[in-house]
Amino acid sequence: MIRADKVVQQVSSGQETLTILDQVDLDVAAGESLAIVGASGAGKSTLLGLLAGLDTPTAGEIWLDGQALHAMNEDARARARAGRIGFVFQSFQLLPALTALENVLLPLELAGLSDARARARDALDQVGLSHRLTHRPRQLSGGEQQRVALARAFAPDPVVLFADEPTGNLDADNGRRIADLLFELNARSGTTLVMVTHDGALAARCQRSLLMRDGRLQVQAGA
Amino acid sequence: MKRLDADQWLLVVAMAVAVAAASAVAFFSARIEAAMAQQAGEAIAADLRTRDSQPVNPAIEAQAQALGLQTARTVTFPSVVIAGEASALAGIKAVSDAYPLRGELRVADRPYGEETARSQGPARGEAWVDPRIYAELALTLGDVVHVGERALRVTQVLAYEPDRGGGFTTLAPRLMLHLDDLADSGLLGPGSRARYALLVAGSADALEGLRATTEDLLSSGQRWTSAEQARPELDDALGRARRFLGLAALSAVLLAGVAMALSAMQYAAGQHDAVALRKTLGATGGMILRGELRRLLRLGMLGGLLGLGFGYLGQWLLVQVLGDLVLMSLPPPPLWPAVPALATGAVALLGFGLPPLLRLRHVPPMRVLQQALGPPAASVWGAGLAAVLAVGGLLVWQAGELRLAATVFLGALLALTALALVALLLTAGVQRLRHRSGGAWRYGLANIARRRGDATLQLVAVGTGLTVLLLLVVVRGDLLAT
Repeated sequence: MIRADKVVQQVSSGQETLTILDQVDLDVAAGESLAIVGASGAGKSTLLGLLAGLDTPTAGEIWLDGQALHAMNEDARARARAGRIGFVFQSFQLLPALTALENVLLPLELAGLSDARARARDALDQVGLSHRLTHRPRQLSGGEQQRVALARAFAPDPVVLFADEPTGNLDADNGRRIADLLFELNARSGTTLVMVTHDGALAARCQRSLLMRDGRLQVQAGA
Repeated sequence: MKRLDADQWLLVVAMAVAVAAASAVAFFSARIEAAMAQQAGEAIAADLRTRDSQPVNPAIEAQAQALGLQTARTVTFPSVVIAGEASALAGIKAVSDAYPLRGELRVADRPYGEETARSQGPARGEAWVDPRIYAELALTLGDVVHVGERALRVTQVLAYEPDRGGGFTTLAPRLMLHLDDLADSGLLGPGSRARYALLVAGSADALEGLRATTEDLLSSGQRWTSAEQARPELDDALGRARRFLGLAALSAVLLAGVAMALSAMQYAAGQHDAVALRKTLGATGGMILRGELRRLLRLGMLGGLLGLGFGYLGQWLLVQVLGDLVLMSLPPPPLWPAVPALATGAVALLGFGLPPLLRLRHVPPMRVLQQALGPPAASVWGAGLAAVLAVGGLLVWQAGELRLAATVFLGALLALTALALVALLLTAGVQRLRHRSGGAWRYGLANIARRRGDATLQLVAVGTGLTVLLLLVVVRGDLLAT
């Protein structure tokens, strides 16, 4: 489903060139769940962004569901993501001006799905928020906001779900509930899951775990 | 329309301010111009006049009437007026029933007595005489005077006629009679030195139509004279008023443009997260652009409508505040200034407000994971070019002549360049200064230094606003007094 070949990512800061990812190779099978762990600044989020086509690598190739993301421009990559890739972020990333229902509708409308509204209602029902459709993010608790984000991620029935520290902004109880919900929805839909986290317990719930260190991926000890 | 956040309201308010300012001045100018045009019309007692030593072709009057215009005829010539044994040289003026078409006549029952306004000249068999003739011939009301072979009864002392211009017959004291009496006088023979005039009044469209359709009917010496051409000093006053009000309107639009640029920048900055998320979820740059244009259109329309409402109130306030300066009664404001005011607001919105929104399509989707990422820094030149084009276009439109627009434009460009240089020096200074300051100052200065392009643009914008206001204060007196 996902393949990265000798991916290098460098950024220039003045005259200095910083290598964030160094010859990263990765294969993720369809339906697999993979955790990428590592210290802050190790390059986990950068790799997640490249795998999702949010950016292009300095060198190397990235293939997602048979599409060569490294060779596509930004608009083509956006079209490739529409309705097929789901995201869950640490900071929820809900649009404050939109209601819960409208937030879930967003990827469905961008994918041009005709039954968008019914799907969005169903997705919110699945995360237990059918009574909060018209609430705006600021009227919801952190846990509820992340549940809306989960509904938004799963509503289009994506082939791949990328999660960036999905419980990072939640207390332990809420974090556990969100993790349960995430894995439950993932199991139900059979979606490929790539999750970045530094929560060992969360990583342990994935089928496979890789460690990012100094811009390189390693098989995590004990995984 | 979805609920607007604070930044969107700012943009709506800026647009409302632009349209309110433009429409208030446009409504007010339209009222002043209409009033001045009415007054100017008095200079020839009509809106248009043609005058010649030959009688005006009757086909021209027929054409004017066919176009729905009012017409009147006058004949003026010097002649002798006789009363008993006494005689006096007079400027005779024979007028038709409809005279005067603009303005009014004023008469009294004795020289320099209390004046009464009249909308028509003397009836058949009557003569209205100037106080000088009245004194020279020792007349009293009811006396009979002879003009050629026609005997007329003096019924009024003529105190004022609106179209009394220069020339010999106006130096001689006036005797006014009905046009029908002229034929009986036997004075209009060859070499009579008479001046025949056809006066016309009515709507601007019909007048234009008359000018266009009667060119071939006018004899070689004849031409149409408008009210403004007839009285240069009124023309000057009208021109000065137009220049000042036009400058005032432009200044208001520039100020609002500055407000638009600032609020659009603020709004755009607040949209980076939302745009990055939309792109992440599958929106292309084109979709973002179309979405922002639709949003700008909605905000612009809302602001425009609000602005028109406030502009209408604003012109009423202007009349109250400037009431003492405007020594004439103003007709009610027409509705047409709403169109150019909205168009002015739209041009300002596109020139000043659009560039920051256009940059939104360059927000990288990767921002959803790395908050520090944003669109490329604002191009001062790009934003400046859009503003310059908007201002240039508005200038040409408002000034109505290329030379004046070019002069103002070059002046504005020089001022902008100077402001930009000062702003660049200041932001460069801030960069050095932040290393030497501490606490909140250091943080604030670092913020400015980090976004030097934005800061420079904001400084230029605020500076332009202040310059425009100062300019208006400085030139106001000169423009009106010159």
